[in-house]
This record gives sequence, structure tokens and C-alpha cells, in this order.
Amino acid sequence: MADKISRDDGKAPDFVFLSDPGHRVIDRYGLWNPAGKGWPHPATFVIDRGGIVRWKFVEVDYRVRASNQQILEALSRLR
Amino acid sequence: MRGLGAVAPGGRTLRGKACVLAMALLIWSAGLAAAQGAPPLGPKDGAGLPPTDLDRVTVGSPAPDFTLEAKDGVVVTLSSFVGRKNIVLVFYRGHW
Repeated sequence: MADKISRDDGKAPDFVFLSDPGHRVIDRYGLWNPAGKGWPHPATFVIDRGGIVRWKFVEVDYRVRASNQQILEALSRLR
Repeated sequence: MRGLGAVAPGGRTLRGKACVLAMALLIWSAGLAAAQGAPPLGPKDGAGLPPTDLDRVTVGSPAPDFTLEAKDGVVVTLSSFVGRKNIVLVFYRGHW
């Protein structure tokens, strides 16, 4: 599946895709979408080197996503 | 996936200050069995918590630890990055 993903410049993604069969991590994070199609509510977390959540974006409307700029700004505040 | 792909080049420009690892969590539809003999996969705690609680993980609190499998059997544990990298953790709605 990850082989199907390519960036605009045609290169392979340099991030890691994890699979969550049984949605157990999704449930642990409280993101299970009760509409029951097997999906999480989309969410983005920025986690620092101490394992602490420093920024969070969760939106039940799947069409509303964290922007890349928001994520990068959150990261830029971390050491 | 254009949006996710665009994070990675930005991540590289931050590498002097903060390494970035983006992970996408997906639901796989039926049948991806855990590998035999691999470390237990999934969250490290919190069994029995309700699955939907959008306020459970809050800014300033530790991110719940977990171990999950990437493609080719590579196993990734979130806490393995402590002391090493900042993480962008993306839960992506979709399945293949």
C-alpha cells in the first residue's frame, strides 16, 4: 500500500505507515469513529522528545484537516 | 496523500532543530494477523477504556505508548523515539 503513495516529486514517502488491525491504538487514543466503518476520527499529534503531546488536532469532520503549516509551526516550537 | 507528502520536505528543513518522523495509522480491513513471535502489538495500557473520547489525549500529557507493525514486518514502538526524535503522529481515515 505504501508503494502506491508518492509525493508530488514522484519519490517514495519518507515517513512510516503503521497498521492498527483491530483498531486498538485508535481506541486507546479515543479516536474510534462510532459510525462504525472501521475508521478513526482523523487526528494529528505533535509529540516531543520526552513523549509529551505538544500539539493536537482532532476534527470529526474528515474534510477538515490540520494544515502542513500548522503542523510545521507546532514542530518549530520544539527543541 | 499529497498533504502528508508535503510534511516530509518541511520536516527535513527542521532537521537541525527537530527530527520528524511521521506515522500514519490506518485501519486495515479484515485479516492482518499479528506476526508469530513478534512483540505484542497495540497499546501498552488502557485496555477497557471506551474507544471514543476525543479529549482523552491532551496537550501536555504523555502520548499513550504503543507498538505496531509497519510494512515488511518492521515493528515500531512509539517510546523508542524518546530522547531521539520529535514525532508527528497522524491518524488517517481510510483503509486499503
